[in-house]
Amino acid sequence: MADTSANGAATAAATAAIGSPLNKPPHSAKPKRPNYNVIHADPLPVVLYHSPTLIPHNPISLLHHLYLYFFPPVQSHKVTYIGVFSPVTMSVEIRDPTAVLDLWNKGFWGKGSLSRSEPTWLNREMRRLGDTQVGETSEEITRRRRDQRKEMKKERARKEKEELQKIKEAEAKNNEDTGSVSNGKPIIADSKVVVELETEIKGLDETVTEPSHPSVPTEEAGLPTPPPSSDELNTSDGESKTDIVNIGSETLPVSVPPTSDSPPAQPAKVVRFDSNTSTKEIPVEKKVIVQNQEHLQLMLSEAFFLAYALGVLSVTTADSPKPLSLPEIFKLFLRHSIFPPLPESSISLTNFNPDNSFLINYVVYHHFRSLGWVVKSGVKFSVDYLLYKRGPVFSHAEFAILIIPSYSRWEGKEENVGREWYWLHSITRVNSQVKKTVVLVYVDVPTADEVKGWDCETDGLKTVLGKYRIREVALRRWIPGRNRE
Amino acid sequence: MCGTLFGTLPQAQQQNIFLGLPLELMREEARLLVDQRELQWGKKNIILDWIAGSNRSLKGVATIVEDSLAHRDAVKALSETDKADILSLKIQEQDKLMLANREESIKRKEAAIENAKASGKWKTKPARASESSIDKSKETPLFESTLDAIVDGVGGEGGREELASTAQRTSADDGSQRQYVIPMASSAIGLHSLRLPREAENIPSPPDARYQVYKYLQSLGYFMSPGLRFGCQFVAYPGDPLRFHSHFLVKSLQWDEELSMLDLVGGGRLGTGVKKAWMMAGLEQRDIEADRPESHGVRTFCVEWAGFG
Amino acid sequence: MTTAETSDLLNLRSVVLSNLQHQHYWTDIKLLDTQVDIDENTQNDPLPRPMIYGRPPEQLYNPEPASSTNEASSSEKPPADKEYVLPVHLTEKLTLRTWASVFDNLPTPSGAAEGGEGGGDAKKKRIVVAVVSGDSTVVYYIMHDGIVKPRQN
Repeated sequence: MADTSANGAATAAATAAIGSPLNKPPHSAKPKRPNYNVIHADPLPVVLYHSPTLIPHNPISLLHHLYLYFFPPVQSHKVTYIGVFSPVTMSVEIRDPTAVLDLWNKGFWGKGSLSRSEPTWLNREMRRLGDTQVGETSEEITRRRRDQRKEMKKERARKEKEELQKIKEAEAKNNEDTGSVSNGKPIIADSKVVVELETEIKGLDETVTEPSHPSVPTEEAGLPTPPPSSDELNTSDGESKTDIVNIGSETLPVSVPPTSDSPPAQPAKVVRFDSNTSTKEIPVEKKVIVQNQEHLQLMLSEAFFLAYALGVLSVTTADSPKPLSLPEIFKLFLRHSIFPPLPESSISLTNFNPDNSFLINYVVYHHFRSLGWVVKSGVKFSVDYLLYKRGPVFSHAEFAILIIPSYSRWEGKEENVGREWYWLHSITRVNSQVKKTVVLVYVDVPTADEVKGWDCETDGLKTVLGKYRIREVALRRWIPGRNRE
Repeated sequence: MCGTLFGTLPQAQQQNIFLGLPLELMREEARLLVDQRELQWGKKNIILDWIAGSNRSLKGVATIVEDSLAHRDAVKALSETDKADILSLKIQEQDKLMLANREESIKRKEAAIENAKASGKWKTKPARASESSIDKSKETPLFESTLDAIVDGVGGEGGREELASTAQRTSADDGSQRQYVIPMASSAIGLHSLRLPREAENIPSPPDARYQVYKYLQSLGYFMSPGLRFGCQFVAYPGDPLRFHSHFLVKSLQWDEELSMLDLVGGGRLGTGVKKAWMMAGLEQRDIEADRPESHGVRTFCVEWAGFG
Repeated sequence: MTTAETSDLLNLRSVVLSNLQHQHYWTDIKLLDTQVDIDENTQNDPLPRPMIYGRPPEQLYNPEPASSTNEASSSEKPPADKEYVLPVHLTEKLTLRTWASVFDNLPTPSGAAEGGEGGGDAKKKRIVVAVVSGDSTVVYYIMHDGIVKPRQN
């Protein structure tokens, strides 16, 4: 009994020593979070003027309407942004800082080409070079978190090693002493420490995925991190195997006085962005001038939605500042739907292939954007799109969209060739690790004949898009043992 | 090679080996067995009876047969003398069993009485329960004592048929004087002369890429199990799946089969999420280099998340 | 192999290059176009695909993170190993043949075999696959030529 109490004390001391430096960061030193409700008040980059209701017997409201009638707002509801199509990135790039900010704030369009989500490269670079006037960016928070996690894992590995060593020594000693195994007490003292570390790591991991956590709004957008709940997942799959170290310590019938020397306290974790800045003396006030290397990059679907559906984007090329016409944009995007881009000659606007991946992707993009979702790329989760309810800063994406073209109207064209069940399961697994629901979106592709002659009609593009049909199937892994509520 | 036990709970698949559930082999496993000619028995749908193996030769030729058909054909093919032999064998078995049972129960009763007397708890009418508990206290393997119970419980001739259809074991001689034979419905025939075709036409033919990769990893000592649960073709363990975590999620490809990068990203992410590597592999289509004879011409590429980006 | 034009592949590489330099702070970057860029004693044949050779800010692949504990305490870290980066586009489809030819053109690592467990694995060739997508995301994966057991992370 004396043993156990001593054990407990040792454990407590150990965890306190380890715990203290790690408990400190992410929450306490966190700067105040910006008010995203204000920043992102407009869901779309379209300016609407609300005229008050017309009340016939109220002259003031009449006057207001007359005023609006004769002097329409100077800024018409169409603000036009200018984007440049780049054959290098096969996308549309926005470089004007106001346009970048506007498009990001009003509907989360595009992505910073050197950032996870919101273009923050300039800020990051300035801070890296020692500027003191800009705030911490989400990338830095993510990085710090990953560093912490790494540190924790190192610590855990060290603990396990120590533990193993101890057991080995004890074993050796015991063999010397008695030569026979007796009914000694198992040591579990320090494996407990390991376990606690484990939980702490988990805790850290969980804060990363916690969607409502205020400090890391865009965290998940950049999270191809080893998904956090891996330990639980392993267990759930019947693969649970006790840690070898723990097995060792629990079953070895050796009794050794619990070691009271708690592990050396780790120095508080210093946030290190770069090896050369961490040691540098940072002056109190410093302003750094950096040439911005970043642009806001619009996916082809995003750019086309802004240009075609909202009419707020004009697209130019590097060759001439003259904006392209809609059919020209359409053709350009059809060509650059895949890598390597299709040759110019292969695309004819009068007779294009409705199975073009730009079109299929755009149809789906248009569908969900029109329904109010913020649609972003899903490459990190091996899907086509992610759907955000309001935007990446508010919550994590709830749905992962997987586009599956379907050719029911085509003659003799097979559907979904070469896909096996395990493939589908791999997608759902990746996404359930990050608590997303996979939605299969079947796009029924029209035949080439159906879309022929669209360019002769007024608003023929609408006709073309109208030929596509969309069906959604939400998919979730159902495990009988764990879905009983 | 380990196969998958059939009809287990998803939470405890491997542990149920002791319940004697049928084992389902992957196509690749069955094929490898046929190719290597190591086992003799088999069934269509590659379901093998795990326990049945105990009384059959483990050396010989693996043959895959369609169970019901082959069984019927084999029975039809039996000659009259064969049938008579089998019948007499069956009767012999039954007699032997009855005799053994009777002897045993007498012996046990005596033993029980002895025991009870020794411990001074002798009662005129020993209860069955105490008898069996005493029985267990002897150093009988758990498995055998349950068998005793079954045999005792069934007792007379009437229960014999029922027993035959439910019990699945043929217990071996345990070294002591006691011996039980619990006949399986077809055990006598099976023991006698079931004429199975030596080469069956329905050898499983898994897709070549898969089989080559399976064979290659197997030759390196990896244990493979089906990958559906993990979203891949195979899961490869560096040893006994009960002892090790798996290392690889394997996807086999033809040498010129195209793989989309989205699948590569998905695979890499999938593996890293469960602390495994995602592996793509296939049979190399060119002159197999002399300096890598160990590779069977299979090339493998392992993918893990790079830790940034 | 792929039908991609060289200019397209060079475009793709420039995207990855910018991303490595500016977002991930890689240094000592060298562009690889022909075999001579890798090994001076070879033919001037073009590589199957243009690549990048550079140094990440921190050691990228470490089969035994546990052993790095001691190294963390000593303030002087050895510089990270340089890595070969292969840019690919998300919409591309590659075959095993392509991957094999990429690896076959790389030199065998000089064998950082300091004995111990990871020794065998350290000799295996490895590349970093940079997957570029249309929204400018670049995701990076490590690929080994041969069987390399996963890291204990």
